[in-house]
Amino acid sequence: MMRARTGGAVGAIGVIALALSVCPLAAGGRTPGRDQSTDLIVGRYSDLVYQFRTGSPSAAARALARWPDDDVRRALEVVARDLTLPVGLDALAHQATPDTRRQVAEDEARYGGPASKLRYLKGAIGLHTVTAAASWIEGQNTLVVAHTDFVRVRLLGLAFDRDAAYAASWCRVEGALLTGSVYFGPALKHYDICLKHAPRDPWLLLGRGSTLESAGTVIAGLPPGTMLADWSGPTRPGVLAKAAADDYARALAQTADLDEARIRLARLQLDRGDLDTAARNLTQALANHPPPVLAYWAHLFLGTDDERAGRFDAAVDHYRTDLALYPRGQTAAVALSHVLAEKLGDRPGGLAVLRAHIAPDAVGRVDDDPWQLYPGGQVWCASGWLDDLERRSRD
Amino acid sequence: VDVRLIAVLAFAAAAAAAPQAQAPQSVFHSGVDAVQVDVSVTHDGKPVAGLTAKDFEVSDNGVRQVVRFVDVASVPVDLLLDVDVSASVAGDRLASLKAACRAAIGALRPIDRAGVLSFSGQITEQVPMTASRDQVAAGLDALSGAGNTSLYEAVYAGLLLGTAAESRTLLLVFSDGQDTLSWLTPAAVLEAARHSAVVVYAVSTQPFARSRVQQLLESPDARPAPGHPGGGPLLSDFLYQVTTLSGGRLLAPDEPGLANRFVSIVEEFQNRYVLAYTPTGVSGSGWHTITVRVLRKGLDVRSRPGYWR
Repeated sequence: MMRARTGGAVGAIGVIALALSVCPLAAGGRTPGRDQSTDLIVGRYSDLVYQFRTGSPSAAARALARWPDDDVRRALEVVARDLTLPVGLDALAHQATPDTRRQVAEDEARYGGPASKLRYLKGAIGLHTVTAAASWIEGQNTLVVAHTDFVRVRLLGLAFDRDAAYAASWCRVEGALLTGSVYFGPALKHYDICLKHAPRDPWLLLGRGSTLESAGTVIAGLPPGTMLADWSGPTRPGVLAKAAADDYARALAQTADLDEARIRLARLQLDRGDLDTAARNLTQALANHPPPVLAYWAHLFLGTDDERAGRFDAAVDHYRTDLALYPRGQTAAVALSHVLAEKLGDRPGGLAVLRAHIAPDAVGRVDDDPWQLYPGGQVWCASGWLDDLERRSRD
Repeated sequence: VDVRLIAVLAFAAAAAAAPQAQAPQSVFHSGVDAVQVDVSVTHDGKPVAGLTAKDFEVSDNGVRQVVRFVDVASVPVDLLLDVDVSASVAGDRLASLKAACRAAIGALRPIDRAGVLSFSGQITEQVPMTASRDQVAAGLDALSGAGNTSLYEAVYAGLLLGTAAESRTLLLVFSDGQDTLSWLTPAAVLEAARHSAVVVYAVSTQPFARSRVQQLLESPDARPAPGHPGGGPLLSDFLYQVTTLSGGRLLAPDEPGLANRFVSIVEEFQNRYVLAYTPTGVSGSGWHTITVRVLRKGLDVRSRPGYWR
């Protein structure tokens, strides 16, 4: 089971610290690094951090690119020592599989710049501007998330102590990436910890809700006696669905125009047969003119809502609207084919729609069918965050 | 009538309408309300040959019917391979799957055709139904493994494509994973299976489900395990249900191997019996339960359990 963004997730995690470091911080100007040793390297790092925080990431990257590798390594060691991390970067990296190492290398190449220095740069900036995030993030890059809970707890606490808004934005992305990589268990722990610090953050609530919802769907299909790896949350799909719905509702209580939460909540309402409420929520979300992906979801769910209510012609209209939004949206095409062939008795029509969308030259990329983004649980808006991070990393 | 009507079968040609059970005929015709029933008869897993119409007893909603026999030797088979090429199949498994598909194609007769549907997160009609073995081989060569698993929708697509065919259609589904993506529900696809005359055979390699598959095979009346609210049935349950509804079978691949398994499915299908009858003494629309019995003892009989009209 893989997610559309999974491939990018590993690498994207690596750029988070970089992007966070260029986000506006509460405190402006130069901030002394945590390390107060006499090692001169710390001062040079502080300069870099200052450049990043004052909006010159490219200049900082260029500066670091000129550093000798030994200086980069030494600087990171100093900072890591100061943070007394229980798990060092090298130890984490040592656990990486060959596939993971290759993925990391590909991602680093993709994001450009001297590979090792860029990685250290991200780590170092993260260390100085937020917390010891760098090691954690590098740990993520080695896909050993499950082994770093202690580090996660410690570092997240530090992050929120320093700058809650800054930390929350980081946590949203991290949670989405964990969920999108099908690490539902670690994602849930992550969100739980983050929400202790920011209990009303609508994006975190949305993220945890989508994690619970997706985990519930997967768990529902597991044979008795089996469970998701690293999962410590509820195990009954109904309980998970309710918990997800509660999170969506709480997110909407904070931000009523959070359309994604409203649409996801409606899908759960649809699942439990509350057709009228689901339709109201979906219609309300569409009235806000959400982005096309969310509109596609809403029409898909409205179509199903209509089908279940016996309004087959209305369902056809919704599926056709989806196909107008995404002409290669195979899920809407299959749904349309099904309602035509099985509900309206138009098998030739259903077959024609199906054939038109499953021919080799008609099958698009995963992104061409927004439904494919839904079941993995990664909130859709995270794509925008990631795109933004990637763009910044290239600047 | 929602099952395929005999009147539209390509092979339908004139034959004497028999007032009673009779020996196999290569051709026949009937009224538009005629119903075709594809029946598998096995003994110890091996197809049983040599039965005549007199050996069968068919009831429609409990009313015994006069059946006619179709000589399947003259009826083309459309084999639609519906194969899972999600990420979990990549590598050696995919190579093994391709070899099995080629073996299945090799078991077809010259009059038969084949097509290939592949599915992962998306469904692709890799090779539309064709008599060209080269075209099918090229389509198989092009398969690669990646992505999620839209099993339910892939089965739906196979059923709909197969229903459009004018031959006997064997939908051979291969999957090794749990559905992770389908928007269509299992119930919706099972409903489509009830409306289709396509016979579905499936091979599931899902390791953790094998014991469950075995349990279902040993106790055909067992219901799918409860306790899956909010989600679909287990993959094996779904495949068991859809194969049973169509009169086909769900099989594990390991004995005697995937290629042999595929070939045995094709051979079993080729050796099935096709019975036809014009419903008599029954009326009304809706679900009609078909009961097929073989008068000889000790034989395993499989056919679709009914049809919609």
